[in-house]
Amino acid sequence: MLIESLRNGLRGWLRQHGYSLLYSIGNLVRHPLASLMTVLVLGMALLLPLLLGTGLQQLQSLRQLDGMERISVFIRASAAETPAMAHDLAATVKNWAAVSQVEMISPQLGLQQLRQQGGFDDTLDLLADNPLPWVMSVTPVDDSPEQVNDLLGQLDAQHWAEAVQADMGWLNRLQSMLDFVDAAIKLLAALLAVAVLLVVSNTIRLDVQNRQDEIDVLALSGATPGFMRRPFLYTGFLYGLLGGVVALLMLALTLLLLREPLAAIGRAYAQDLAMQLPSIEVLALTLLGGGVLGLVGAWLAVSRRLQLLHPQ
Amino acid sequence: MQQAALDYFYNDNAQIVFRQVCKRFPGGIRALDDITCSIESGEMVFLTGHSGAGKSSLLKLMSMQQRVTRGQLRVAGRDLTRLPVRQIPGYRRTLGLVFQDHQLLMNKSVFDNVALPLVIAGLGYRDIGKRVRAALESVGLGERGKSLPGMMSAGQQQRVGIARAIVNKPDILLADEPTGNLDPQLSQDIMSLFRSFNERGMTVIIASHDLYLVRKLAQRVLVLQEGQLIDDVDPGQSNNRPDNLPNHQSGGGVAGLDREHQ
Repeated sequence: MLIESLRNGLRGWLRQHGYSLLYSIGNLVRHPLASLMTVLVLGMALLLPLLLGTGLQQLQSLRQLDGMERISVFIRASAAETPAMAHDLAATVKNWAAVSQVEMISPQLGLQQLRQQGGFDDTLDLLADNPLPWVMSVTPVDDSPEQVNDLLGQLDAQHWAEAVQADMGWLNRLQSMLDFVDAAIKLLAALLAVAVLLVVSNTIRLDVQNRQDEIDVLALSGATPGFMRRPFLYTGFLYGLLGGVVALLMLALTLLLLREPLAAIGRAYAQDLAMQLPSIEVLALTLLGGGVLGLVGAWLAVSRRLQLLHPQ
Repeated sequence: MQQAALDYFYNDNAQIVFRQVCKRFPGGIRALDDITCSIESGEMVFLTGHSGAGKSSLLKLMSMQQRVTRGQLRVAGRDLTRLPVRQIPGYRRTLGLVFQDHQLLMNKSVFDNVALPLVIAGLGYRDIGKRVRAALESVGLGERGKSLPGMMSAGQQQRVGIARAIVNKPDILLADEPTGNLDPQLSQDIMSLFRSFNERGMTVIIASHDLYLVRKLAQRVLVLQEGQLIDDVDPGQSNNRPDNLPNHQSGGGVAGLDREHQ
């Protein structure tokens, strides 16, 4: 008996949700131009932080241009008398958790690279023998300035290390810039989230106003506030969700348009530069976030109106 | 009518009980003053009086569109004076409401309009179809389910409004000037419908200033004037017939009497 009653209650609740959802979809379809405009505005608002976030992700990869994140360790001559000794050192460092890659540059290779860079030929010809040491080029796993600095200290502490070098100034400047851009994007995202909320809230408020007679009839027919609120909540959610879809489509289009110019910059730095779509989590968050913002905006607009229906 | 006579009709166990009910609006405007009466289950009662006498206010108190300022109002055992806001929708589902301006949703079909209370109640599509068809049949609009209200006459629109009010099988039907916009013949038809629902056990309360119709139906009449209940005429009581409605009702363009004089 109780189960049957619960089952009937659940069925009724699902029917009411179905009615509200269909009603909301019908409402969007009945006013295609107005709905499209709202969705596009929401899409633009959601696109901006998404696009800037993707740009920031790309800026992070600037650290890798010209190997800026790499640490050069000049090996004492006594520790690398033979190539085998040098490669043993490389193998040891390669096993460190903070190290991603180790490359050994022999004195001969170093000299050759120096000659290739040009301008030193006459000077180098004067040298009786090769004065360059073995150099270990270490790529850290994490290229944040803190991690690079830690690894730098660790390498510097090794008895076989003559000198350790990394362009920390560049890394620090880049990191500060990235931190600033990151904070600016978060602030902008928050402001645009409020904008989405207001756009949806205002759209729903107008919708509520236009359907005031219907709300009055529903209230007098015994509709609960939840029943009256639900179609508007679905409409707000759909607006936000569709806004998210539009934002993702526009992002994909933007990335497609920027692909070639970015690749050209990459070629100039002998790097393979390509803007990637955000992770699946970020994409899902955009859709869900848009929907939730739409839902909250609609809730704010409707609840205020429904409170006026309380008898005085 | 004197207080003793009012007390005669007062019954604490009745379906609807007004006890010294007052309704005041902000600014001290007095809509109802010290209303005491009761209405039994299955009764058909007319509320009559001039415009502004308090007929609609009385209905609005019963439908919980407004709250009592002072006194007590009980409907089917519920104390409306203290009814929490969250219980109002459930209470309203036990009522059927009919309005002078029909309050139909013009962008929805007749079927959808009538189905509204059933959708709110969460009924299945099959049950809704069955009950809406029955309601439309009962008001003589069985074939008009797909029409839009805008394509119908005022009388037909009012029938749709009545079908919507009764589709949920309410215990009480409240009608506020249901014939206000209709010609005499349509008004009689609509009143006959109310009568037939009442004959099937529904309590029907109609606010109307059309004394011609009120007299013709020979039902109990509550007469209001300036927010006060000044008369309670029950045809079941000797020397107390609606024919004897006080003369002050006939002045000022009361529709029924004007028509009678013609």
